[in-house]
Amino acid sequence: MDSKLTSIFARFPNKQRDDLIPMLHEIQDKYGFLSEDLIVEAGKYLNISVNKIYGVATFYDNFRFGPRGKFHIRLCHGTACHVAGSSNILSEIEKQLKISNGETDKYGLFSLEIVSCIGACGLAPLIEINDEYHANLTLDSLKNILNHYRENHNTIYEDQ
Amino acid sequence: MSFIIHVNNTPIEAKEGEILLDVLRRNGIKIPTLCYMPGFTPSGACRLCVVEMEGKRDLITSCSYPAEEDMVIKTNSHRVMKAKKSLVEMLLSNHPDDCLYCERNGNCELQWLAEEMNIKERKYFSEKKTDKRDHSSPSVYRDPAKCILCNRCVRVCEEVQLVTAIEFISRGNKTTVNSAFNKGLNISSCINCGQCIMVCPTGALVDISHIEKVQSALTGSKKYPVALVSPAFVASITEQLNLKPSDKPAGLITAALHKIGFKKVFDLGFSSDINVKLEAMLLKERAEKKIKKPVFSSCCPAWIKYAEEFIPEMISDISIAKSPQQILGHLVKNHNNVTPDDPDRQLYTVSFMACVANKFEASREENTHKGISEIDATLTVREFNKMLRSFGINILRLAPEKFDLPFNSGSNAGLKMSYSGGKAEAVALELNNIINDTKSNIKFTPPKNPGSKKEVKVQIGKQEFGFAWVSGIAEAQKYFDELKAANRTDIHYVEVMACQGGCAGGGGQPIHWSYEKPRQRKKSAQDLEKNIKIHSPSQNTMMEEHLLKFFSSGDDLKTLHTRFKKREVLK
Amino acid sequence: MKINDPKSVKEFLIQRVLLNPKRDNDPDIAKHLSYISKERLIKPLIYVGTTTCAKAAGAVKTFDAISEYIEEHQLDADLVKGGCAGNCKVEPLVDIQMPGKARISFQNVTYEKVPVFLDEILNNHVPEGLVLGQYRNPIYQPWDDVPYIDELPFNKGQKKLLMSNCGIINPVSVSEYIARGGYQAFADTITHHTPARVCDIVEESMLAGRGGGAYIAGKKWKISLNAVSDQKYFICNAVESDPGSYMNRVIMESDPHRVIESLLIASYAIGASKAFIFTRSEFTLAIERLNQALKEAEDYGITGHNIFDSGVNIHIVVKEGARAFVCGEETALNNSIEGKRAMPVSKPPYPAIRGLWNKPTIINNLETLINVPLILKNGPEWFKSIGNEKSKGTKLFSLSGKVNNYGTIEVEMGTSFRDIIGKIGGGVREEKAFKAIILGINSGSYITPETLDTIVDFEALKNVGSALGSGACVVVDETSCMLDIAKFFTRFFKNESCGKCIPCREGTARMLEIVESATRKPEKDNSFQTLERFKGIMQLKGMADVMKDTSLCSLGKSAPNAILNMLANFKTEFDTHVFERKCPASVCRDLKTYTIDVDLCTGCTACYKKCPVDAIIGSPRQPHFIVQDKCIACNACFEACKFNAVLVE
Repeated sequence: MDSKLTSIFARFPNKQRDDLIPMLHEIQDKYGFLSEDLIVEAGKYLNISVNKIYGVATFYDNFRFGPRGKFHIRLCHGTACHVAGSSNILSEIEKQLKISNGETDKYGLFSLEIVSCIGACGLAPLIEINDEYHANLTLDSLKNILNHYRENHNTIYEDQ
Repeated sequence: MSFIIHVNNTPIEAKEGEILLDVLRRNGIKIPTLCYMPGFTPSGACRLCVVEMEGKRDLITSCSYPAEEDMVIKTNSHRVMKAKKSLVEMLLSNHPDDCLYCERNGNCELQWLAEEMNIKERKYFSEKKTDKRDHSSPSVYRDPAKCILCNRCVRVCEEVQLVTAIEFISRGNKTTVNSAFNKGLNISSCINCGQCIMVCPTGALVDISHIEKVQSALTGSKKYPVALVSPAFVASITEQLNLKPSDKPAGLITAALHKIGFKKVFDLGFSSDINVKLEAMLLKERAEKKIKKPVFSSCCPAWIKYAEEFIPEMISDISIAKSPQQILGHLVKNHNNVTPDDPDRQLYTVSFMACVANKFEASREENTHKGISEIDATLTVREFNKMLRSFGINILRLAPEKFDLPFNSGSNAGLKMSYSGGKAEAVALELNNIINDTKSNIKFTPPKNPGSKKEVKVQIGKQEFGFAWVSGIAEAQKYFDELKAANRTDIHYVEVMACQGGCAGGGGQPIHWSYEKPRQRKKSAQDLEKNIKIHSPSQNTMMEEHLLKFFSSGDDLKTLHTRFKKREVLK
Repeated sequence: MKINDPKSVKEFLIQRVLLNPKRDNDPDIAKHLSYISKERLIKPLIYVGTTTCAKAAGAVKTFDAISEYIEEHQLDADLVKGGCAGNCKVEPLVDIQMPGKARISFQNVTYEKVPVFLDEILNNHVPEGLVLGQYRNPIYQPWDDVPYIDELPFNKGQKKLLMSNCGIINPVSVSEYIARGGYQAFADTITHHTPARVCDIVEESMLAGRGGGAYIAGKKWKISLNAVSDQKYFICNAVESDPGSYMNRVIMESDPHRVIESLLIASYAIGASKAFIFTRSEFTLAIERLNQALKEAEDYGITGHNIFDSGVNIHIVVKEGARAFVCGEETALNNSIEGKRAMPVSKPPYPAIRGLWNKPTIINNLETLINVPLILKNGPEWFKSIGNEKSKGTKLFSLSGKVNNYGTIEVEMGTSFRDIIGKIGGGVREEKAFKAIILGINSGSYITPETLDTIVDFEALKNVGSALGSGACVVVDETSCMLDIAKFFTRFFKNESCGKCIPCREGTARMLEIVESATRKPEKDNSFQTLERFKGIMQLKGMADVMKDTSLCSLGKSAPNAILNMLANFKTEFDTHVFERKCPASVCRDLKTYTIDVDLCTGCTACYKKCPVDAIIGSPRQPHFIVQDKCIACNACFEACKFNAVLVE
């Protein structure tokens, strides 16, 4: 067990069941996703069955079980965004990057997550890439944005 | 305090604090349920118990709603009937519909509901479920496509057995009952007790069937099939067919097995006696060494797996005696007692048990000798019933036959082992016979009060021995914790059965979810006991002779010992 | 009191203000307070709204640019990360207040405008084009020729009671909050009222739950107050997972102390010593600000152990959900806090008797709760004077969609939706025809052109087959397809169903399949599928009824609303899809066919280049052709064509 995990566990000295979700949040924050090993360790620490933890973690949309891409795209798919055409944005992303919700592309560059509402309905449709917002998207501007990210990291493509 | 409620324009009596469903069912009103289990807090998942209550906008679920004075209920109004039918139709909308090939065909709660509600066609169309099946376990087979997510297996596994090998995974209509990371049951903490099978309303959880391989052994020319019939199995058939001891149930089963093609049919009561004797000897030895900690019985393979996974520190206090199934398998295969009539044929041992964990037990590494397993196949009561049907045998019309030599006699200890508390008694009686003599008697009276601790203290020789018994892992674990917390030294022997009620409630019994059935099987076993002349293993002269012949030295007896080790699983 | 010494300010605010019942009549106190509340200033003050929606519009860059400017010019000015006044359209919003002058708001101040803009305003010159309006200030002079904020069309129809501090105060300054009248209601309550009296006052005010059930809050509280237990809990439900509503987030980000004060009073009223604010983990800023505010409140002795020596203990904890819509349901929320799968549990027993960890627990929506300090401060009669006969107080909405002005708004109960759209919202964008207002996903109901005069009132909405819902208020125009929206809602419910009970788990999935079949490509229709499609559509209503009747929780019960209301209000549009296989709004892709008019096509290849799936073939200067099997009806060619040669059917 590495020190990162130990320091997370140290924050939950009471080892109560209600520590589970906050702990999973922290593990995911630090490691990017919940790996099998991490879940097993958390189970040992909290004395909760791994099956229970996996059941809880898969219930909530927040938890991932595979690594994120270098650029994590969060696509808002709230009502206002839908009305503004976020479905088209979604299918364009899916087509361009060949990934669907919850997946990471094979280069580890982009990952996609659909969120129900970012809360910036006035600027619909919008996506968030690594905490940076791109609002009032059109298919054209989306292409440019994706190309921008891609080009700045084209070396990654060549390496592969 | 009781009061009146009005159901379908008829006043019926209800008690304060009673749940509506209980009131209705007590009065013979049909309320279908899929998720309800008596004794558990209602889950309210299936919604099939809905009734119409005056003053409520929506239908209410009778399984969770308390009876209230003067409430007006309709259980069969158009609205209620339509809702129930639609619910079943929704369940069927993506059901695999392969009833013909389903283990539970004809014995399926969903099928019954569809039939009762006169569902003639698929009303809602959807793609049939095709979830990945799990064959990985030696005992339990899962077909998640047939799962209707009633939650019963998950709750039994967690609340009764404390194992939590399965849990709801994912959300919404993607929900499945699965192990962590969707891995197989074989690497999960599953203890193979089969209680999930017993509560499953459909064919989503069934046992790993050994029928095929037994049949090919029976009909092929390579094997010499030998049947080992456990007393718990006999008790179960007795109860199922409502037989009397005078009908000689064991004789009928033997006759049927001979007819099916088994060359020899042996009594597992024989090895039960050995098992009980070994444990009594161990108990005596520990008492002489003044070991204060209790010894725990080892005959239940599901409990053993639980201990190996969850409480490995207790392994050293578990009896080292092999279980009756493995002892007899060992005796049959390794002592040239049984010689196939044709030298080309190999011995093929098939045990008939009320258990599915025995299928797992037979596959344990310790239970093979030079690569040859002691037990080749295990059939449950369900599988036996099915085989009888396929052979067209009506067991009631057969003339009873005797078990074959040399393993044809057992004391009533074997039958005692089929229910919770029985083995503790058998061991106590045997201990008395060893310490005093075979003529002396002791009184072993279980407490009558249902709430009291299941413990009996008996004076044997100069010492007072404490015997205890627990069934169901949750109850067992609770008792272990109590023992530890109170640091008790007055308990010497603890009988542990993984299934509630012992083997009488085992995972290999006919599927019927109720608390009543294990009790009835216990009663059948106790009735049969009375007809057995041999009262304890020490009085079983055949067995004593056999032991003298093959186990003249103490070292030889060690082949009837086994070992357990800490088990790393995904838990 | 020394304004620059936090200790002295704290001492003053606690002793002279919070614990002083005669605080209101003392002009000396009032003067001190005006300094603390920043109504009276010593140096210039710059507020930048940095809530989530402002961030999306680039407010962080603006903030950085301003702080750079201040450093560069060595300005002696306060720069504050503020909240949100509700008007999303004008973000990034920068407020500036100069000593002696009224506060003034500037709109759309993107980072590149900052230097010029600051140069001007700091020289007391109002930069042109950017000004939004000025606030009224009783002490300082107004600016000439600058409209008052509250007279702007967006604000004029609103009544800001709950949002009175939003976008005005520093969200994480407890002193500003107290100086503007905050925590006074709590201090008075805890020193003067018994818990039972608080419940009485709240019940008297007729404050109704904003979460959906419209249950009288005081009544609910009394159940828990009267339950005997060693431990009780109060939970502020701020999950707000309806896509399209974000009022709770705005309040938490802009005025977290108000949430804390409300929860304190409520917890006191039922005797709860532990309270939770349950919100979504994505609301990182809200969580950060709430925690910061809690720390400050604890420092002031307002929360925690033995508050103001009254012997009352109330500990507040912020709990993050992990994204599941069903967490909005009370019993599911309890399970989520306990660290379990958020599956609802049958009621009864109700959480008010047996909730969190089987203890009496009251769960109130954030919006319901934040009315409480106002009620205690001004009395139930005052609260009852706001709103109309049946529904009291104000209602927050997240106004978005195809309207000119959008954002978080607060209107008095009884306001008509026509006014909300027409006046506050400034009408439908681009002069398109108004089609519907979508009122939150859990009500799944629509305000149509025919019912636009409906007022914001629990009963009035019920009468038009609608419900107040979560407060999302999404306006759609003629370019939206109602079937598509119903499909969107149903898919949402299908994804968010917890999977526990049959009607919701299977019903939502079947319902979605049926609606999808109505919009599926006609070519794929063989006769069996056609039959299946019609059969499914015939089952729709019956299935919806069963779902409403038998579902375990309100999620399942409200899941079919979107479809039922669509069938009730837009039957013709639905029938056109089903029978004519056409989408009148040209939204449903599979029902659209794109062709190129050979006579009009010049072969410019514009469409060829734009087509994302290479469905267009043809050589330059020759008419092009669309391969129907490949076409995904994305509309790119239609938009690209300058000669109107692409035809849509």
